[in-house]
Amino acid sequence: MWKSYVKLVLFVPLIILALILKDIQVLIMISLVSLAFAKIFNKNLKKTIISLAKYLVLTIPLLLILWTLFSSFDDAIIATIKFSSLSVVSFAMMSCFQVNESFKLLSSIFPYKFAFIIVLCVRYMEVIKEDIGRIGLIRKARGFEDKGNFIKKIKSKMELIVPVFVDSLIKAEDIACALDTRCFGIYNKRTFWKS
Amino acid sequence: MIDVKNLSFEYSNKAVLRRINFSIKDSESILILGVSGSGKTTLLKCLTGIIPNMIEGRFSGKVLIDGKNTKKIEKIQNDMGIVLQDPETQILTTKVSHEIAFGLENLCYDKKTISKLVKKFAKKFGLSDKLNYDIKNLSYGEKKKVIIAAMCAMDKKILFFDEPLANLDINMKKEMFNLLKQLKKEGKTVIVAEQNPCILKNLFDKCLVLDKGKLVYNGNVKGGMEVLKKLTEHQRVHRTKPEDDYILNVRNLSFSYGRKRILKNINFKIKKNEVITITGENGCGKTTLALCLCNLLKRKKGKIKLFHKSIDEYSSKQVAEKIGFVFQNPNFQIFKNSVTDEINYGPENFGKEISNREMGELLTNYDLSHKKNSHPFSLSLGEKRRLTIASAVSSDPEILILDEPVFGQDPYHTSMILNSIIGKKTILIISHEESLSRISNRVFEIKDGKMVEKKCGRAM
Repeated sequence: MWKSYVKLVLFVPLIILALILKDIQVLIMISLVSLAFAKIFNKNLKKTIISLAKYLVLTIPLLLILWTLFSSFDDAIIATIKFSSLSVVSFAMMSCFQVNESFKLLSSIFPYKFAFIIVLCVRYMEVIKEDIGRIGLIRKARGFEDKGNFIKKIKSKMELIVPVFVDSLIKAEDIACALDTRCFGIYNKRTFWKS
Repeated sequence: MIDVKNLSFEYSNKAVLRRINFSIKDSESILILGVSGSGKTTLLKCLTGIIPNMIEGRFSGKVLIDGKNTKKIEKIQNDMGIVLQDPETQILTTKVSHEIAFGLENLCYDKKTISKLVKKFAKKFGLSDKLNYDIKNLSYGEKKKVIIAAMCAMDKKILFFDEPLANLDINMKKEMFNLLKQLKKEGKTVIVAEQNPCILKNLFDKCLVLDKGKLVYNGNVKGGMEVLKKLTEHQRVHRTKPEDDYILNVRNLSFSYGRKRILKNINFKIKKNEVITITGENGCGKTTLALCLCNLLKRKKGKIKLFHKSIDEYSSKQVAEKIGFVFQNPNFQIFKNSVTDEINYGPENFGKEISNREMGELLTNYDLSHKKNSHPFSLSLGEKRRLTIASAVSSDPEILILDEPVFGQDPYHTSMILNSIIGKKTILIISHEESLSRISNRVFEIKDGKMVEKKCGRAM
């Protein structure tokens, strides 16, 4: 348990700093430091960095454009860097916590049933991501081609949502059943065991 | 002791169970037989109290467990555990040890007792050296074992298993048999629902047979098997002879996910109109191989020749036109709002048109005529599977890849589907079902990334 507190002590100040400060150089420093911390606790950072990069590539241009429309370009740059450093720190933090660890930490703040819902959501995010990839492949196997302009592409992505949604509902029933047979939530308290 | 009195259940206006009566004594072991869609899983869910507590529907009758009504699930939760078919959705944590401990934590055991119990049950189920493993990296059968270990650690008196043998290879099936035998010896009530009990059948004291939601038989196992055999009588499927033209030629195919090598140097040829079955344990790379054959996954090494031309010379759309692919999970391959639109989806993408006559033929061939205009998601699992095969056949591909086509399908419809495609198309089946090897011309097994030819079974 002390280990997870150490992680919190390391990362939370970084998040607060990234929120308060406006200096570009310091913000970049903060993100680098957070990645270095993450490397200590998590040996394979590669996956996190790839998904982080994908995320940033999508959001940075959007943020830049929108911010410039409503304010000046200089402001837009600062806001974007602030936003990206914040996301770097939070991604780095997320990658260091294991499911069980975060469950334990969260349930020291919230009631444990609620904490478990959050943890389960985060865990199933990955499963759903895989599912979307698979459905995309299936559509390709039936002769679908991802052609056309931006709006058409977004529309075709929307087509994937229904199958994912239906399958997730079916899965949810199974998960509820599994939770029930393991007597989840029959008492108001719960022990947290760790090997 | 379990008492079921006049149990009926209706789910979205469809009767799934109709007036079922039976009783089970303590530490008796029961086998529930029935073809897919006969209501086995629903019955198990009713017995465990999941219906009517968590799933809505019209529930009538009574289920009493040691005299306690299942309508109050808190009272019976402690005594019974259910192991569902798919282990993936029942895993709630990430590590093996945490998974076994999860239920014990919920029961507020102290930490020392939990450590002791986790060690004890891991040893019992042969998982001692895997306690710190990530569950993701375990094989399908091992995942099932972890869940059963978690149930047993909680000291459940009554254990329910929904198709414990599904998707397991023969060694794992034997292990499951020994496991159930041991549980029975310990005096637990074991209740298993299966459609193909193969090696398990000598284990049980009593047998129930369900047909279309009705209890049609209650007696010894031998009689039950005979009743099931009568229920599953079907047309014969004949093996056909392939033509002497190799249309798919795979040489030295290799594939790896990151550092993990999944397929190593795979070589084979497929003749026109040949039927080939590929077997192997879950996660051994069967589906990956099929995806590589369609060029949907880029192979690392090797050559694939489709109709005497390298597959890279075709565009992805051209490959999709030549090779039809039916995936395992039918929910993932439904994109349109009605059955006919769904069947039309493939041909539309290829710029083909199917006439009303062809559409009618497809609908009757796959027994979907009565559901022509309904939404695909409202169909049953078996119907959805038939729809996905119909919509792959509709664009008239030369080669058809079917991933677990008979799973969740009753024998009558299985033979119906197979009869309509065998001899007309080149078929590659990916399946655990041994019965399918009887209609195949050749059977391959994937083991440790390599492909080995196996003997075919007798003709069906």
